[in-house]
Amino acid sequence: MSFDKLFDLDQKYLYLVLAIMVSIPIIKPLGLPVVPGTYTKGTYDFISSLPEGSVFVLDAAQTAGYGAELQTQYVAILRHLLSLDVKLVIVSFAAEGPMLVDMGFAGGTISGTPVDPAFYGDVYGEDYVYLGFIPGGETAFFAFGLDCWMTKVDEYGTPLEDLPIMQYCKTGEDWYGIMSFAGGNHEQRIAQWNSVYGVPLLFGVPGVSAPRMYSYIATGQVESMLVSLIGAAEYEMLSGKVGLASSLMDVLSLGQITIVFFIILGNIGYYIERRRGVK
Amino acid sequence: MSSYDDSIRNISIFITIVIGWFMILEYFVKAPAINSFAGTISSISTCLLATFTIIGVGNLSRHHVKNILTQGRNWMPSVVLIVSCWIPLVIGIIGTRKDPTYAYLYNSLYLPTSQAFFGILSFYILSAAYRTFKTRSLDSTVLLLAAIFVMMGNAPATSIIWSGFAPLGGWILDVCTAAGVRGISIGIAIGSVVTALRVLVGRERRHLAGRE
Amino acid sequence: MIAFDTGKEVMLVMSIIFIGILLYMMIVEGEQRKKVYNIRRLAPMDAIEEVIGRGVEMNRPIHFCPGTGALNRLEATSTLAGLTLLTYIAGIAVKVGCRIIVTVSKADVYTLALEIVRTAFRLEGKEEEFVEEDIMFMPQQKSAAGMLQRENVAANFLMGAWWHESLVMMEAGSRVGAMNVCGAAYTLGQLPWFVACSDYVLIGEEFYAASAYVSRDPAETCLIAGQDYVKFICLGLIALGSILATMGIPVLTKLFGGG
Repeated sequence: MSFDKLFDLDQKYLYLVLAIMVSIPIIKPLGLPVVPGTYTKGTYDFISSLPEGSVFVLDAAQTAGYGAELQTQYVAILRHLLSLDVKLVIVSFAAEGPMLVDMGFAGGTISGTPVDPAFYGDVYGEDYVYLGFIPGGETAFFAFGLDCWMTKVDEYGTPLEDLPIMQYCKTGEDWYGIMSFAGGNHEQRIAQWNSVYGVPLLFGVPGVSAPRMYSYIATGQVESMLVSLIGAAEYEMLSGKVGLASSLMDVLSLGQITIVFFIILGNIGYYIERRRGVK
Repeated sequence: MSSYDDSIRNISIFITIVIGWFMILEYFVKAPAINSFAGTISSISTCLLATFTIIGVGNLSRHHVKNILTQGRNWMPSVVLIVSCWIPLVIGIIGTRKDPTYAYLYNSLYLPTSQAFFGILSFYILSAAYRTFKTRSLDSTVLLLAAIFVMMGNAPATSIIWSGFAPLGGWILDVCTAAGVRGISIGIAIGSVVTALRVLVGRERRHLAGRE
Repeated sequence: MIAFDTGKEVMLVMSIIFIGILLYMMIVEGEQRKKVYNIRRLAPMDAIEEVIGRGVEMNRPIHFCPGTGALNRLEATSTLAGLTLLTYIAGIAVKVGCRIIVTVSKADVYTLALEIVRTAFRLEGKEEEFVEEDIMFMPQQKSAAGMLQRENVAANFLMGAWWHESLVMMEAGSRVGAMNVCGAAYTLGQLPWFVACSDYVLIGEEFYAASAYVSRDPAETCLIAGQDYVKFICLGLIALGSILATMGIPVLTKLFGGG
């Protein structure tokens, strides 16, 4: 076989190798190490230090497309929050949020094992509540900060006045912190929540959105963030509650190493061709 | 261009100017009536957008139903599209999202296909990176090295190879990337203000199919 | 009773200054004095006619997508800028007789794109040649990748607010040998892929300046110059604030709300 072909491979061979490499750890987990990063530690420290009885809002705005990144983060955070003595208000500002919140509790392909609040001694309506989907984008962020009772009922039709937890959450002034899992609209959330109420903001972001968050973290407008699947796996490791994200880290590692390998291979071929004067 | 089209366009521009400046000024005042009216305007715009979705779905359906009835090119995928669009829509409207059939369709059809489309990205990233990340010049070499270190830093297993990947990748992201993004963001923000200002003073008409 | 929302004084003053500069440049310098500022060369804009001409020679259509952003969110200005460029590109395509396919993922943007292309045909007196089916509403934008390959497009214009689907679109275009001309401002996450994978790219402000570059309209070019003056003021404040903060005088940091 000519070595020239090795450096100018057809795409189907690249895809085949990648598919094999990411399949190996699914069949036989490798248990490769996970080292928590700065931002994950920051998120974990903030949530661990939430005072007892404080109101924490989870904005479950993940979508199916970003499910592998954001849903795994959401479940890791949800498990940790349910184990703490905080008042958890879950709301969705994306249409797919309710389906994925349900999947978070019931378990599923991109959620992993079910999250049972009763296991942590949490009672619906007293320790946690789900208010459902609020449409409107930035309008909804603005309106929810003004009046957390805007939906009048929770996702399951129970009037909010019948839910004791909602007595502690009337406006954005009552929030101790809020964490959003969203693929976009981050600046709108910063503008409507952090700028108006000064409430600490955390984000669960997909990998491509992370670069734009660094500036906001540096200025203190955002406390910290979880980045992509790796953030979820690191958080699971820190909180001691291993889930789906940890099991997928091997896949991520081998996938990235495969991509780097082929980049280097392509450059070796390019260098050899240049030496031969072909190009 | 008919005068009717121009009149419609001028009305659109007038509404844009009035509402646009009102919403900007509302941001700086605290008056319950004005703030509440601004909220109402935002809600109206949300409802209008939902109406546009109906137009979009209607247009899509019209095109594909016509394709099916005339057995035009690729009419069988059109059948799949119409069925997969309307059946969940009808089930969702009648049974709401809590309907078990709707949940089954979401979890078994929509979720896996969305994930599959997202998964395709990893393959496309591989082929794009293999094809384009070449050391053709100093700029492309720097891009290549930064990409390699960031990717290796993001793969936790590479700490076995060299423990410096994560700190170096993190430094590239925290310092270099943040600086670049910050600079571009400032420029983009000012550019956005300029574009918005042209719309708010009625000088920008091209998005309404108008001519300057 | 109307009261000023305290805490936003600095923002109001800076907004008035910036908007004042921009309006002065646009109205006084541009519209009244007809001054034309020189905008540096933007290779993608110079290449548009060549790229569309390639489509005519190869008898292949061109594809345009104004991004996947909506008109009611922060990326609206990117989408508007994309639609402005659609006006320009559709005008050229119709004039030279190149078929233009437009895919749109948001319903509100779809109605505008439809009208823009229809108007382009009408202005050239070719209204009967307009095919409404060539303006496609595709809620999942990445599904346009299959269409790009089926139609064997010669050029792929991706100009607007983009997220992850941009790479799928660019790769699909590359596979059929299409020239990728991309422009993105709001969504920075895709810029590295645009730079690496597309043949021509407009980054950030270049995208907003593109329409002024081709029109050479005095008001537009003066507005771009005004944009640069505003940027210089921002740079000056950043530099001054950094120096003062380093000296332990955080006056500007506190003034602009950095705490």
